[in-house]
Amino acid sequence: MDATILMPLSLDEAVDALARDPRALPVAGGTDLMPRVNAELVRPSALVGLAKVADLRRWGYEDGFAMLGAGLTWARLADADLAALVPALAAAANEVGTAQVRAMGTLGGNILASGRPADSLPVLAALEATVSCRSPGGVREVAPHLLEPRSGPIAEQLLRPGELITGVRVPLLRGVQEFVKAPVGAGRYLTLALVAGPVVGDVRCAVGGAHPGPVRAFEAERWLAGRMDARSGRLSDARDAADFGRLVADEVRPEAEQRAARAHLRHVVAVCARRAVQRAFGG
Amino acid sequence: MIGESTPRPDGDAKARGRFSYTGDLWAPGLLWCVLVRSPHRHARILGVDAGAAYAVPGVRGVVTAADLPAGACHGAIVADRPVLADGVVRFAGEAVAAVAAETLQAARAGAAAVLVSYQPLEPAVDPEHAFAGPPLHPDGNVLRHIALRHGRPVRVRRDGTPVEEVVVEGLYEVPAQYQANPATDAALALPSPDGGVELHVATPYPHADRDQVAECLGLPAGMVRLMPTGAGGSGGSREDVGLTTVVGLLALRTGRPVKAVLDRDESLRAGGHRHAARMKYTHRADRDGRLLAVEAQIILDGGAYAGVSPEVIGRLIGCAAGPYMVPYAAVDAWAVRTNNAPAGAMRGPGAVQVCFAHEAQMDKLADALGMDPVELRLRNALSTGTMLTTGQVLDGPVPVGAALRAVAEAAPPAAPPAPGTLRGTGYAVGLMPLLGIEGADESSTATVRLDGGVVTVTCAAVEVGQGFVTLVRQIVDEVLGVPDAIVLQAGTALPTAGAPGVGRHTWLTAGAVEQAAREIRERLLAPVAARYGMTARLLDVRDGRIRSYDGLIDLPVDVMYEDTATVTTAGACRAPSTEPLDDAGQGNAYPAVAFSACRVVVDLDPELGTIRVVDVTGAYDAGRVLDPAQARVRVESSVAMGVGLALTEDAESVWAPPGPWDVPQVRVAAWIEEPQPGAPFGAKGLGDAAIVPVPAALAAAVRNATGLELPRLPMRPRDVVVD
Amino acid sequence: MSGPGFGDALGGDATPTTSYVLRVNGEARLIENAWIGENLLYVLRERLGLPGAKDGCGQGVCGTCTVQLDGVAVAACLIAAATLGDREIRTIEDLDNDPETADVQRALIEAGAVQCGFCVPGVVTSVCALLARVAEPSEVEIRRALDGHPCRCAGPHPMVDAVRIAARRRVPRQTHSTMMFNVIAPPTSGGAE
Repeated sequence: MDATILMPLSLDEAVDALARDPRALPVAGGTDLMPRVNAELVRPSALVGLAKVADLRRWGYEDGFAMLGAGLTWARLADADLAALVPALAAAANEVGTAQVRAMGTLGGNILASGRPADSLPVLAALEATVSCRSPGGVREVAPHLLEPRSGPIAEQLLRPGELITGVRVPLLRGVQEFVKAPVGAGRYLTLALVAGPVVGDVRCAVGGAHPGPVRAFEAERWLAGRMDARSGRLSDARDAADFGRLVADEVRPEAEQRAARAHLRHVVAVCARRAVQRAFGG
Repeated sequence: MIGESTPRPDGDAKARGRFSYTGDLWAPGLLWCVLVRSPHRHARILGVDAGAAYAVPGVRGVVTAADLPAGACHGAIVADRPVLADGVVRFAGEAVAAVAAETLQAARAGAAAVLVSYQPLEPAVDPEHAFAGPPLHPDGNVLRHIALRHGRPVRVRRDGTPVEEVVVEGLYEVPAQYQANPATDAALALPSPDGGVELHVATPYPHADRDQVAECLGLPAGMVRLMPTGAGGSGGSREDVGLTTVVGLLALRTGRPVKAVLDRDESLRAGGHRHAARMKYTHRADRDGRLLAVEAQIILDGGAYAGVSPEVIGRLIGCAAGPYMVPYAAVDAWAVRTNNAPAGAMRGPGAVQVCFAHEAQMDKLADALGMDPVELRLRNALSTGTMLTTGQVLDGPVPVGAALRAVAEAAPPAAPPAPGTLRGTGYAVGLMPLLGIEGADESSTATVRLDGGVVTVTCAAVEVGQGFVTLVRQIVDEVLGVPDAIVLQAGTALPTAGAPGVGRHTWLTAGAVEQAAREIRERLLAPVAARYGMTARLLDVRDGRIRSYDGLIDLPVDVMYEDTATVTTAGACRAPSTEPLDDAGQGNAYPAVAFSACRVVVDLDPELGTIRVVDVTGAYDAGRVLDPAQARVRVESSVAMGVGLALTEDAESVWAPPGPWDVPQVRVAAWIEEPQPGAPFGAKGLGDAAIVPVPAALAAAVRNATGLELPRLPMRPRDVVVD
Repeated sequence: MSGPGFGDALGGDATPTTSYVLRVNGEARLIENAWIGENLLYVLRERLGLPGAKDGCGQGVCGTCTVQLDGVAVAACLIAAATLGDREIRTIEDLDNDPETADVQRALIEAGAVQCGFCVPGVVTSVCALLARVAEPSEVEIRRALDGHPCRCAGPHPMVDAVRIAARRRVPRQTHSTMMFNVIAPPTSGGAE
C-alpha cells in the first residue's frame, strides 16, 4: 500500500514525495484546504505534511531581494521585521480573516488558494515578485504578474503537477507600498496594491478579488508615470489620482454576474486606486 | 437578590469546557446519523434506492418515509411537514432519507450512496406568486391571512372642514435571517428496553417535541422520554422535530444509540430562520403631524411548511402600525407557502420586520411635514389607556414617549466623524407582544424543595443560554435568603412551561418559582414569628438574617430551617387570559406588550459604501430590571443581531454575524422600570423588544447620512454608495 | 462522553488511512487507522475523548474549536491532524489546570460573556494564548485576538471586557514581556471602517 501521509524533513524530500504521487496534496496551514475536505468537496488520497520542513519557514534578503519561505504564516508576515522588508504584504496579512487563520494560513497556501485571490497575489504582482516552484528537476521561477488573470484558476497556471511552492523572491523597493481592501458585500472583497519606486516613473498597480488572478493595470501605470515630475517624483495635477482610478477600473473590468454588481466593483476599484495614489503621493 | 447581578450557576462548567451539549454526548455502541437532503427546491421523488448505502462498510441502517407510519408529519401549529419527504420535496435541503453507521465518515459515505431519483418541478420562490400559483401542499398556499380593519377614516375635522392629508408611501423588504445558533441542531437517541426511545435534545419545546415525535413514530407518548440537554444558543427556533424523530427511528431500528449533529451548511439550509417580508405601506397624517391612517399589505415568506407562521402573523398584526395611535388602520398580512426553507421564530418575530417599514414611513412623513422625526413620533405615541389597532386597550405601562425622549436626549457620541465619512443619526421605536398570544392560556409550574437549608428548584422551563437559571436563583435568594439554589430541569416530568423567548420564563416560570418559594417562607417563618408574637409578614429575610420591621428581632436565617426536615411546595403561574383575533384582526390577543427605543449613529464612507456603527443608544421598557448584568447582555446580543440583519446577514452572505469591530457597546439611556401589573416583580422579558427597533434605526441613520431611500435590508456597500 | 470505543469500520482502499502520534496536553497519543482527511477537532473529540473544543462550523469561522498549537490559538477544524508532526497541542481540558486560566474563566463569567457557553472554551483558549504573549494587551490587540469568536448570545463586548479584567488582575504576578512583540496597528487601509 502506498504511504498516505508523508512528513518530509527537507525540501528535497518534499518534492520527491510529490513527484512520486502527483495526486498527493501538500498541506502547510490547512486553512484553505480543510474547509473543502470537511465539506467533502475534496477527498485527498494522500497528504504531504510540510510541518517539519524548516526551509519553508526561512526568510532573508540578498542582492536587493527578500526571500520569503512559502511556509511563513500571515501572523509572521505581519511582524515588524518582515513588515519592514515588504510593507504591502504585511498590510495584506493584517487584514486576513481571523486570528486563528492568521496564525495558521501560509503565504504559499494563499498563493494557491481557491476562489478569487485577494490577499497576497495582488501584492506580489505589483511588486513583480517571482514564485519559486520546485520539482525534482529543479526550480522554476514564475512571475504572477505575467500570468493570464482572467482565464481560470491561477494555481493551475502557476504550478505544474508535482511541483511545490517553496517561497517568493520579492524585489526590495525604497519607494512607497500601499494596500487597500474594500468589502463589496456577500463576504467578497476587492484589494489593490500600489507600488511606486525606486526610480521616478516606476509605478505598479495590481487588483485582487476581481478575477481568478491578480490583474495589473499596465496602461494606467504608464499613464501615471507620465504624469510624474521627473525631478520631484510628484504628480503634475491634483486630479491625476482620480483619473488614474478611472483608468485602472476601465482596464481591470472586475467580473460579477449582475450588471449592477459589476458597476459597483468598477467604482470600488476606481476609489481604491485613487486613494492608494493619494496616500502614496500625498494630496 | 433581585436587582443585583448574580453569577450563572452553569458558568463555571461552561468556562471550563465541562458543560455537555448534545454533540458532546456519547453512548456505548453509538451510531452516527447523516441525513440525505434534497438538492432540488421542488421535485417529485420517483424512487429511493438504499441498496448501495447498505454496501458501504459500517452502515447499519437506512430509513425513508416508507419506514414511518403513513402521513407522519409534524408542525408547531399544523402538522403539515413530513418527517422524511414523502413523494415530493418542497425545499432544497429537505430530508429524504437517513443513514446510521459506525462512524461519521461511514454515515456520510452511506448518505452519499443513497440513490434518490427526482423529477424536478417548477419551484415557487417568490411569495407573491403563492396566491395565483398551484398549491404546493394539499393545505394550500396561504398559511394565514388577517385582514385587520380598525376605526374609521378621518375625513373632516370637528368643525366640518375637510382634513388636509399628507400621504407617504413605501415598499419595503426584509430578508430571511439565519438563526446562527452557535451549536447546530443535534439529537441523541437511546433505545429503551420497553421498546420505547430516550431522546436527548437541546430543544426549547420538550413537551411539544415529545408528543410530536411519539405521534410520528406511532408510539404512545409514555414510551418516548425526552431529556433536554445543554443548548448551544437559541435565537428562537432550535432542534427540528423531524431530525429528532429520525434519530429515534434509527435507534429503534438498529437497537443502538444513534446521534446526529448537523453541519453548518445543513443547518443553513434546514430552515428555522426569521421570515423574509415584503411590505407596502401608506401613511396619512394631518398637517399637524397627527396620524390619520395606516394602510399596509404585508407578505411573509413562510417557506415550504407552516411552522410557527400563523402565530408570527398574529404577533405582527398588532405591531404593524407601530407604537402609535392610529384612528384608522387597514392592514392585510399574509404568511404564504413557497419552495424556500421553512421559516421559524427568531427574536422579535414579526415585529422586527414591520418596525423597519413603519419607522421608515414615520421618517418619510416627518420629512414631508418638515417636522423633527422625534417630535412626530412623540405626538403620536401610544400611552397607557390608548388602543392598539387590534382594538386592545393597553392597561399596563406604555413608556413609548419616555423611551424615545431618553434616547433623543442622551449625549451624542463624543468622537467627531472620521475624516471623509458622512455621519447620520436615526431613531426608531418598536413594540413587541410578550408571552403566548391569542388565547394560548400558558402557564408554568415549579417545585421548590428545602432540605436542611439546601434549596432545589425543579421547573419545566428550558435554559438555552438566555440565563433564566440565574433568575431562578435570584428569586429564591430574594424570598428565602438562600443564594445558591440548585436549579434542575424537569424535562417532560412537569407540565410544559412553553418555549423560551417572548419573555415567557421571566414572567411565568419566575412567577411559579416565586409562588412556591413564598409558600415555604410562609410555612417556615410563621413558627419563628409566632415565637415572638408576630406574623411572618412583619419579618424580612435579607443577607442571611431574619429581621423584624422594628429591628427588635435579628436572627440568623438558619433558625427557619432548624426544626424542619424537608419541605416541598409547588407553584404555578398563569398568563393573563387572551382571546383569538377575529376576522378583522380585533381582540384582546396580547397578554402584555413591551416597548423599546433606539438611536443609532453611523459614519459612512460614501465612496465605498462601508458603514461603521459609531453609537447605539437604547431605552428599554423592562418593568423591573431583575439582574443588571444579565439585562445588559440581553440588550447587547439583541443589538448585535439587529446590526447583523441590517448590514451583513442575508441568504447570500450565508453566515456573517458581526464581530468585535462591527458593533459598539450599547449605551443604555434608560431602563424604564414601571412595573407590569401581574408580572412577578413587575418584570418583562427584554431580548425580543430590544432587537425590534435596531435595524430600523440603523437604516434611518444611513438614510440621514446619504439621503438615499434604502427600502431593503441588508444595506450592502453598493446600496449605500453616494456618487 | 466521547471515547475511543469504536474502531474505524471503513478501512479498505476507498478510504486512505494512517496511524500517527499526536502530542496532546503533554502526552503522546497514538491515533490508529484514521482517515487522513480527519481534522484535528474530530480527532480530539471523537478519538481522544476531549470534547471541550466544540464543532460549530467546520469552516474556521465560528472559533468554537480553538485550541493552542505551540502556544498559539488556532482553529482545530482547519488542521489536518495527521500532518501536525510533533507540534504541541493544548486543549481547554489541560489549560483548565493552570491558575492563569482560572483568572480568565472568572473574568468571562463576571463580564457576562458566558451565556449559552458554546463559544466559551474557544474564547478561553484564545485569551490565554494572548495573555501569555502580551501581559497588557491594548484594545486593538484584544479585538484582533477575538476577531475569530463571534458570539450570538452576548455580543462581542462582554468578552472584550473580560480580557481587560483578567489582564488587570494578572499583571502584578508577571514580568512584562511586551517588548518582544509587535503591537499591530489597526487596519487603516480601505477607507473608513
